[in-house]
Amino acid sequence: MTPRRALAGLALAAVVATRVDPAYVEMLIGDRDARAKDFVPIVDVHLPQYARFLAEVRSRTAAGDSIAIVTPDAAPRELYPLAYYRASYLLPGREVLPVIDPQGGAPIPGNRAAARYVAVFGDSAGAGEAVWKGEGGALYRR
Amino acid sequence: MTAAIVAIFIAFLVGLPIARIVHREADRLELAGTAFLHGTGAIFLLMMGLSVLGIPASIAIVGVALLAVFAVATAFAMRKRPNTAKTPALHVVDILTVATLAGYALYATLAAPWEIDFWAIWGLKGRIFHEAGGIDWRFLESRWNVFQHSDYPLLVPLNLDFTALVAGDWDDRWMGAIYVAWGASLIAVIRSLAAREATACFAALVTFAIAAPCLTRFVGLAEGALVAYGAAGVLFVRAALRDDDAGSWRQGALLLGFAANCKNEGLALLVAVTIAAALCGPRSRIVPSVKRLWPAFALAAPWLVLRAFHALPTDLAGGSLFDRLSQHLADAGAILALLASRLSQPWAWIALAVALFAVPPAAIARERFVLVAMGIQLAFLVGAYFVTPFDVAWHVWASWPRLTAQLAVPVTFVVAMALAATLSESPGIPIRESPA
Repeated sequence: MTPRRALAGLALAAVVATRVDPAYVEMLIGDRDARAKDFVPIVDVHLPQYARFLAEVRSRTAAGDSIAIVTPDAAPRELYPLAYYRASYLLPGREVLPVIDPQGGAPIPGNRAAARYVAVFGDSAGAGEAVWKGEGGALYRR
Repeated sequence: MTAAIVAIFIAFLVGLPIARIVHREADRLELAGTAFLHGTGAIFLLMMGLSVLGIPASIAIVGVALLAVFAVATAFAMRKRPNTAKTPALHVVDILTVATLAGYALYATLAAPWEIDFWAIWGLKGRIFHEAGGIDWRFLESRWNVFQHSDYPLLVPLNLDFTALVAGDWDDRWMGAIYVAWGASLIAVIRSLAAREATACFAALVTFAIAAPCLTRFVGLAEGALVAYGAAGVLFVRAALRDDDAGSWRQGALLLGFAANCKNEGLALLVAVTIAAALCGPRSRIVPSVKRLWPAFALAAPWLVLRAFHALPTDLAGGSLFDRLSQHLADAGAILALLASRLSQPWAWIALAVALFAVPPAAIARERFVLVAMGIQLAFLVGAYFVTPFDVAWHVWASWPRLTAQLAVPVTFVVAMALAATLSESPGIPIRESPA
């Protein structure tokens, strides 16, 4: 065997070895249930009740309704864009409106006033007629 | 789970005669691999066409239309002469690739897609379109929804929408299955292409080396489809340049066209491949080589026209591009250092770089098309960070590992094939200077 072929053999072995993905090997021999606990949307980790809250909001609103999304003042500002995106996904067909600019972080009070509904997560205080109050927050009709 | 499997099976079935028409000399592995890719491509074109015509997408309408596509394609495929291509011989090493695929199937379907970009971009659009019965232009045009990147092409969202149509409602629990099918398709294509040039053992080993990069960890994003279409397209063009095979040209062009409909990086890849084909193909055939990629541009054009018509903004092109470029050029060293430090799977790239010293220079020269195309694509990807309107560190953190994964399959393929040729002392097949 020439030195070049020996080197090529070693290099091919290295290329193969470095391209094996341990995550997929773990799926075959590891504890998948334990791993599944990591596979959750990050918003659901930080705001555990949020998805259930949005399911309540969805069940009380109709396609075409506009809904402003409000999160607690105490929640980290960085979470608001994620909460807004998640609401857009879990409230399909509704016009989901932010009350804080997801890009710049500036308040958008006009959206709160313009929306037919205001979904207030983590707090039951809000303006307008309360359509629903429960675990996780409240929904107000304006 | 049943609905996701049925949706995948329908896409495969619709794509099978199309794959047969595109490359009548395809072996069974190539047919199996490209069938699903052409099938999901056809579903995308059909659902986009229905939206443009204002016809609401229901399972009845889409089902009848797909049946018509299948019937017409089958009639054309039957008129072709029988396929005499041999099925590549399998090898015991292939078991490792199948095991990798099985591990990935468990990974991708362990839960509903969890990545932010699924429920904020790709899955979000799929769900919104499903609710609206087609592309919801009002949603895409809304200033409150710029976060979901309105300008991104729609092959992935419309295929997610199709899966929901088959299911009867949006249920994301098993949507990871479609990513398994995209990855498996690319693996089948790679195994077929490797078998054209190497023994069964080396073809199996090379395929195993590339199996994991074919299977994106970013389940729910467009990466899975982009890597499948893009890498298969690049490698078919490579095969076409080597063998001057019309079927490989058609495969390459169509798959690159679909890649351009997955993400904007797919559009950049099409440009990179076109430039590389012009630079690296036979000098006497630059124009014919580039002209053979016309189907890719024809497939990319409709979305570009639609997004211009609806004035959907592109964030990289917004604002003062040259101001950002000059500002970031002053920090070029820091940006490049950040990219180096954030490189995904650095040891794999180091192994590939070292491997280049183990193969004869002539072998590297033979792979110049893929290496040049990936070099140009890398320049496009890095260039985007120099004009980004976002914080560069955040942008690199959020996207660089995914982008480098897009380059991994073609680069690993050509380096591993060159190593295999060196080990088997095969001279390789030079790019032809004249038509066969």
